[in-house]
Parts: sequence; structure tokens; C-alpha cells
Amino acid sequence: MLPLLIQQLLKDWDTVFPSFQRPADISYLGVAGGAEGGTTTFFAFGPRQALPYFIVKVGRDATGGELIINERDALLRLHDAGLPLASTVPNVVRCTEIEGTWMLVESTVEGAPMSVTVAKPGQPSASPASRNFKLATDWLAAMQMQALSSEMDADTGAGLDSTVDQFVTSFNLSAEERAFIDQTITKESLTDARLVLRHGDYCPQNILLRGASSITGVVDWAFSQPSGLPLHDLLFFTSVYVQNARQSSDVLGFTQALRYAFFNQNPFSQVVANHVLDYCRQMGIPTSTAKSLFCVFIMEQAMFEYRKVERAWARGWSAGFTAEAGEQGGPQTTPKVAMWVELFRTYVATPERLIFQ
Amino acid sequence: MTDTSLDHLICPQCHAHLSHGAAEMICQGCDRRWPVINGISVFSTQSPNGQQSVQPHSATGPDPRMADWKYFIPLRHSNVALVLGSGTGAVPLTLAAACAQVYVVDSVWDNLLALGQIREKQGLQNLHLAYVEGQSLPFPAGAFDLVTFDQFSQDQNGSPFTETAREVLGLLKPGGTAQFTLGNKWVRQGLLPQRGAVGHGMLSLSGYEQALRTEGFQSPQVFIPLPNHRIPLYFLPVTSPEATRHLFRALLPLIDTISPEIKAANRLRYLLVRFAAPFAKRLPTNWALKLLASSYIAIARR
Repeated sequence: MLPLLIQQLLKDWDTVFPSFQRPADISYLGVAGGAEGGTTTFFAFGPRQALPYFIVKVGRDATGGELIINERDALLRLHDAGLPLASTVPNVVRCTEIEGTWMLVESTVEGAPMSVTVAKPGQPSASPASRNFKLATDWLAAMQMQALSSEMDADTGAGLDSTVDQFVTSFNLSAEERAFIDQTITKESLTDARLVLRHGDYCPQNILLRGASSITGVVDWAFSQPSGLPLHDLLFFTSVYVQNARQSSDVLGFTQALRYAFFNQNPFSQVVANHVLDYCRQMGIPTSTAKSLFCVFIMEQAMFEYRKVERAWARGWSAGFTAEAGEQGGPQTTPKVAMWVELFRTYVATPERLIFQ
Repeated sequence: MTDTSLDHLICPQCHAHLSHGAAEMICQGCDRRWPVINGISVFSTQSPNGQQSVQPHSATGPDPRMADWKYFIPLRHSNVALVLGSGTGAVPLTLAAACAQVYVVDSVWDNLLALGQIREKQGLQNLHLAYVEGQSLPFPAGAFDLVTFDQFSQDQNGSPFTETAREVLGLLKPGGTAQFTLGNKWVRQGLLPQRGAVGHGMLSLSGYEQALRTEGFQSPQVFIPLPNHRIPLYFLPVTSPEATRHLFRALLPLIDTISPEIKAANRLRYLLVRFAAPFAKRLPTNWALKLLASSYIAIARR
């Protein structure tokens, strides 16, 4: 597909890339990403060109195509709004369907992905974490305050009800657990949560830095939502941050990582608590609402991973992330689904231990 | 078997066209009968050996990333593809979604049975399976827009690469594309010997490039799948040191987040990359990667 795409781009090269000389040849560096992600990425290099000319995101299938269009729409929205932060997200150069495959050509954003350093195996260092969390929190709050937002509407309320119903049904919750959801997530508890543009995959890998002091880019908007509940992105950032720390030092255990970040008292969870509260201050969200949003976040993540496994199985794929599941157990037994349910049960059992109170 | 599938099948013994019989194909030239078992065309004088039922979902099941090289070629919906060596099924399944017809040849019956089960589950009517053992390939010359060859799916007695390349070239339409998944002989046979390594027919990178050109392929491109061709998280073009530097400079933190299981399976390579990363600008990393890659993906046109 890429040769067919480049034929199109070369026709308009001088218009599309006025600062680059028309190349004689282009080499592509492929970055596959997760098998379940639905998209794959290619960096296009010219001869003796230190930085890629452009990046191509490709949808692997129909679902991946939807993600490509989703990303295009989010980037266009950020640029069309003329936000100051738009300079830190890629420009849409072209979005096209070739032979049934959706491709999004984006400008390159300079910078290296945020890295996670560890104090002890599996435990993020508090000091660099504090710096990284401040950068991530400030950028996110600024973007979400600037991007158009709205009050909770009927669609979002219905979507939330549907997520809760699916969560309750899929994971066979006890009466006590259902009662906890009813008490924690009420219309009143979410009244103060204005809907925001959600990145959807806000994690260290997708935040590009110059040195350690400033964010130069935020990439990969395929899972973005034009209006979602706030705080989700920061909680997701935290989850991935602590999991990266464990993976970089080969410490296994997804659920332990999440408990370490959200329910255990330690220097890292203190950093998390400080920045969750700081984000809520910037966004005008009361702490009581933050607790409800945390519960919604867990359920959304559980269902998100659940659907990914369902889709992969329907297509006959059996990549590593689903293969670990018990054959008879269904998607809920895969580690990446089960960890969210276990975190939910931790929350139900010990709500007083949640680190932001 | 469907009528469409017969368009691209011939008798491997006399090269005449085939026609449908009851659960078999009949050669219109020599009248030989080739059975169809479980929807798989059998081109062998002996019954295929293997289980009658296999489990398609296994820990090493199809991973769509294995076929991501398909984006490097000008694939069209009207294309007819031939897959020589089904592997885990990832390549045939992804090509079936992108091409008009896909033919899969294997000499391992169980691989074809597993793929047949997925084919049935997904209702893929354009995926045709052929068991070929001890016969020449049952396809006419110049029949395919794309031919893929996986050296790791071949047995120890596989042909020398030059013979394979020549045969693949003959199966391609003019302007058609060939894709080869190839082992690095230096790694497979000595430098970093690997579990389950196969060595016959393997060459070095320059050996493959030279063989492709000698056999008449045009503009061969080679990529290094990292950490390996089974779970290719990265496809590195060997002709672009810029891409290699970018991989080390900008993407290394992503390598750190690879799951411990994948790191453990590729520990030596992972440690080498971690060690080399800070010096990537000064060290000839492109050269080192070419030498130490366990496998290559080569793409070339007729």
C-alpha cells in the first residue's frame, strides 16, 4: 500500500512538503505497536535525512480504519480550534483510503518519548516521576480547558449507563459490588464533571519531550473521544507509567502495579495523589467527583480490554495478549482484563485506601 | 474446492488443467485423480500424516504483525497471491483480507488443518489450501501477483535459495512481487545459534541480495524484523542508516516497555541493543544489525 500512497504524495510533493526537496527514494521504518491496537505506523525517511519526512499510520482492518479516522478528526479539531497547544500535535497531511486500507499521513513531531526510571525493581523513582507527572498534568489540563467542552449530556449519560451494565453483566458482580457502583456513580456525583476532549492513549510512550523539561509533542490520537469524562487520561497515564516501571525491570504483575500506584502509601503514589488533585483543581472537579470518575475509569478500561480480546478472537488472532487466557474462561480471564476487575474489587473492599481523598 | 480455485491449479505431473470430481480433482491431461480432504487439495502419492483435529488457538497462534511487510508492496484487491509455507497462518489470513484469491501450500498437514478451521470459522472463501509433498508445485507459470516464501516453514531438506528464487520468479506475473522471510546463515549456523534453527539454504544478507539480482529480480528491498520475524515489533530498512539512528535515538524507550516475555526470548539481542543505544551515533549500528539479525524480510519485483 505504501508504494501506492507515495505515488499520490509525489504528485503533490511541492505543495504538501514545500520545505523538503522531492526525494528520489523513500525508506520506511515500520513500528508495529500492539497486535490488538488495530493500527501500525511507518516513518518515511529520505536519503541522508536525519528526521522522517512524515509518518504514516495504517489501519490494519475496518476497526483500524475507524481509529485512523478518529485520529484525523481529533488532530483537525485541535488545529482548527487554533489552540496554542496545537503546535505540539501532528498536522494532518493527508488521510486516504487505498485498496480498502485507511492511511493517515502526519507531520513529524520532534522529541523522544518520555522514559520511566526506577528506584528499585518495578518501583518508579519519585523525583523524575514528579517532574514527568507535572509536565503531563499541566499539558493535559491546559489542552482540555482550551478544547471545547460541554456539560454532561444525555448521550454521555446513556453511554455511561451502558458501560456500567456491560461491566456488571460481563464480570458477574456480587450484590455488594453492584451496590458500591450505585452509591459511587450517581448523576449528582458527576454533575461537576464537564466533558472534555479525551486523548484515549495518554501514556509516556506517546508524550515526546525535549530534554526533560518540556513537552514537544503528544502523538497517537487514535483512541481519542471528542467528549469524554475528565480525569481518565491522567489515571491512564499513571497506570501505564507504573506498568512501564515494572516491565523495564522485568517485574511481573499488572494488578500489583495498579495497587502500588492507587492504593498503597509510597513515594510514587504520593506523586500520583498530588497530581490528580492538582488536575482536579485546574479543571474545577471536587475530590468526591474524582472518586466517582476513578470508578468509571476502572470500568471503562475493563470493558475496553474485554472488547479488544473479543474482537481478536472473532478474527481468529491469538497473539500473546489473548493467548494467556484460559481457553474456557472467556475474555475476562485474560490478564489485561482481569487486572482491572481486581482493581475494582480492591476499591470496593478498601475505598478508604484510595490515595486521593 | 471452488471453480475459482481451479483457475490457478494444474496437475503437478503433466501440467494440464484440473476439473472437479466427487471429493477430488481430475487431471484433464493424464486423468490422474488428486483427492480433496477436509477442503484441502492433496498433491501427494501418500496420505497426509497428522492429526484430524487441531487447536487453532495456541500460544504461538496467528499474530497479524507477522504480515506487516504487506504494506511495503503495492497490493490490490484484484491480486492473486501464493503463500509457500503457511507458518502460524498470519500471512494467509491477512492476505485473504486484502487479495481476491490466496493459495497456500504446505507440506505439514497439521498446519493446513489448523488454517482450514479458521477459514471455516471466518467463512473465507478465497483462501485455498494445498498439501504438496514429493511433487512439483501445482501452479502454472506467471499466475500470481504476489508470491511469499517463508524459509522457516521449510524442512531441513529445503532447496538452495537460488533455486527457490528462480521457482518463485517463474510463478510471478510480469511486475509481480515476491516476499521472502529468510534466515541469516551467520546467526543460525554459528554466531548466535538459535533454538530450532534451520540452516539449509540460508545465506548472508549480501548473499540473498546477490542471488535475487542474479535470478532476475528487480530492485530488491530488505528489512530486518526486530526482535525477530515471528513477533516483528520493528521493520528496519537495511539501506537506511538514518532509520536505524532514529530507532535508537527516538524509539528506544519503547523497546524498554516490551513485555518481559519477549525480552526473555530475545535476551542477547535486547542486551546488545540496550548497550549500543547510548553510542548509536558513533557506532556502526546499521552494519552490526545487518550482521546480527536473526532473519530478513526481502521484497523484490519481477
